[in-house]
Amino acid sequence: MINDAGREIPEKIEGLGSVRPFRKLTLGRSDQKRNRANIKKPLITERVPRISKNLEGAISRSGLKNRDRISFHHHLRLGDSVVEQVLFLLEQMGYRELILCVSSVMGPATAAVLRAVRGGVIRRIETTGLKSPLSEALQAGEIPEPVIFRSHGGRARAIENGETPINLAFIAASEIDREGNMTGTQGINRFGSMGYAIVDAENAFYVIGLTDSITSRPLLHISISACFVDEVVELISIGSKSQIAGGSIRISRRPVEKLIARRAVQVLAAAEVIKPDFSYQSGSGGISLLVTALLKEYMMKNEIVGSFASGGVTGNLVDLMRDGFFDLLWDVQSFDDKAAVSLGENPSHREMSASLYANPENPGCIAHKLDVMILSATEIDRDFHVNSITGTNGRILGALGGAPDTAAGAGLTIVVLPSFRGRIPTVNHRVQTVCTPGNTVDVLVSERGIAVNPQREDLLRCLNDSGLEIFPIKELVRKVHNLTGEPDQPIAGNRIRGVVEYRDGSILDCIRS
Amino acid sequence: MRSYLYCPGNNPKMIINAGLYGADGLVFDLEDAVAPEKKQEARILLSQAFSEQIVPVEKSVVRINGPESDLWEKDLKELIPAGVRVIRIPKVEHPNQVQEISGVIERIESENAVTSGAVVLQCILETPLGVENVFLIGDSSSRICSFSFGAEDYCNALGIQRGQDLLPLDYPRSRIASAAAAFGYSAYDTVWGFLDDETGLKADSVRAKSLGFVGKSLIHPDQIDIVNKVFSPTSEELADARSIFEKAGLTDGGATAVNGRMVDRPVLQRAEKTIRLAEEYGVQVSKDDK
Repeated sequence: MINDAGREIPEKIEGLGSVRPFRKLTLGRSDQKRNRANIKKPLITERVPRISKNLEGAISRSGLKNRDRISFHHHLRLGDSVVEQVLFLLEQMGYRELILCVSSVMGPATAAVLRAVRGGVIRRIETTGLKSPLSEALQAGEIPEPVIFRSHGGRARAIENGETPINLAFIAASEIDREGNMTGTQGINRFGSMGYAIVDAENAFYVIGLTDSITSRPLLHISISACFVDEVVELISIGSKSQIAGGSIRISRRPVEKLIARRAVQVLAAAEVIKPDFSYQSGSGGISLLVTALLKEYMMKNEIVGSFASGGVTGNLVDLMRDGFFDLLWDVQSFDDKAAVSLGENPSHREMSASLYANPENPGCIAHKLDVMILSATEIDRDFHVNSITGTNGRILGALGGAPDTAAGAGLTIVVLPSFRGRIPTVNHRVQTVCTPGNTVDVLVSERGIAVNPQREDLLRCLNDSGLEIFPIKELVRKVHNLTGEPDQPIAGNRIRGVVEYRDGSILDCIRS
Repeated sequence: MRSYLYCPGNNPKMIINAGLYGADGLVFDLEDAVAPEKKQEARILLSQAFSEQIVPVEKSVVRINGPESDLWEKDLKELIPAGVRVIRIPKVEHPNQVQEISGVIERIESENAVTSGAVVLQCILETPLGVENVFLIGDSSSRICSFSFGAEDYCNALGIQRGQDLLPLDYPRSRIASAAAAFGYSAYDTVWGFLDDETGLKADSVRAKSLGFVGKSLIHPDQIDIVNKVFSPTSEELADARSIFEKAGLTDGGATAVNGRMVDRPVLQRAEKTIRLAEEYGVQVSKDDK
């Protein structure tokens, strides 16, 4: 059957069963009430969680069985050694055919997951994204069941409403107190927000907290309350400090990226969305950071203070709040050490769970309060469908992240994208994989021009009146392909290797072998 | 042209993007920015970019290899048939260098059915000898349309440092600008190589403008806005020019006084030029200057 993104979707997918096709009317905002049946009750059998150094014992006590679902978060970024340690142990313990439900897979975790897949420990992966070498393994058909790509909001929704019940959550924290409270803002390996893990902690049947720092002093900032933690296991290390903390992010000097950022701010100004109390989110990529820097100049010049900025938080955004440009930061993931420190110290810098961030069934969802969202992508097409997982050549490069959630929720969603990378065009007739549906994307800003989604007649009028030169997106596709040539389409096989699930659980697209 | 942005002739991505940033003119370089083993590759790339109009041909110039090299003739043979019509010659020191190059261009024009004289020349003076010979050079070919100053080699020859002290360059700048004016050519200033020093760039540009230059060569898109602004009339200058033009127009053409200043024919001509440039560059009178 064909869904509303124009994609051929099978009625059933091996390993997953029946599928519900994407229909664009809802924008992913569900009318359903949250199913709270699976929300875990605080433990009352023991006053405080058991603390040990025996991970094997903790796993055994959890009651984990073959084919169950386990979860991890990716807040330790490229420094994560927890996934590797746990999966190695699960293999040693003889576990088979587990489902891995993870907020993302990157760094050393990718090789560890691949090993677990090849060893038969994992049969299915549910994630917002994955990197090499796991991505190649997916496309080579090494993962027994199709990988389900969910946005951060979609993952939170699926966990909270019981669609994907987690049997055992492994949650790394940079420090845990003797009562079992967890934080990401203290300890030598601090990483900041635990936003993605909060949903797991609140809903998993069993939670094992993992840390390399146990303190008897009260935590100054609690990310996950002890009442959601069943056991705490002390590891020698949760990862590599330098890789966890991340480096300071430099503002790009690339002329093309600067040009795109400048145009994006011109669009924001012309659309008159930068006004007192506006809310803002952008990614952590080079162009997004530049947009934020230029936005600061505009806000300073026009004496505008926004209400909040949200999403993944960088040190640059922390500076913006400290300098008085935004009242609040909502932090689901801290991208650098400066953000991690700020989260622990500044009451205006607030931690949010993935559910509060982007769950379409959460009435207070922050993504739905956004005025402006700046998105990056791997490619975009003439229907404004955005691809953020695969490149034009079909290879897996990125992740869904929170893009489908924020695009659906924000008043104005702008995709900032260089029109080609290397010699590969990124503005195309048809994206390889639909990740964010075009009906939720308003503007494309590239170095070769600005295009406005024709559905947004109001915006089109506004931008035309401001004197900005606007092109039909088909004209931009033509301009770009004149330079690069028409890209060859990768030849896809019939076997479905990955499924892109929209935030409401419907199926947007499939990634084939 | 207020700003001429340099772009290496062997970098396809930069060539494709060079026209996007708002520079008035582009200089695609075959000389210093291109390694010897990449020269032919660069010629092919640029000829394709011009013939397929991937670059904005009407505002693009090619800097060929210097007259002392054995490369410039190949540059011309490859690029003129592709549509290049403005050639920038580096390190010009003698009139006969320009005459020799003009002769070769004449032949290439003829062989390729290009209108005789369609190809024009910009001469870069970047050595003390070139600066001293600038008037003779200016008189050497009817193809010349502008002079440019190249400060780096000039400073090397004199053993002086390029930097915040602008005074040492007043002499060559004045000499070049004055010679250019004598022939009715435009004069373009040298590049500012300190990418992070925007204050220095502005000061350097203001100085050059004050000595008679109409624009400047650039090495990075970040420099465009600053240079364009310096070499555009200011709002105040535009308001002043309009005032002069309007009030002087009421007289019989002789000298008159406007706002306490004598206005005669040269002043009126300058006012006209300011108004024309302001229109061209989109300068408007701000509220404060009305």
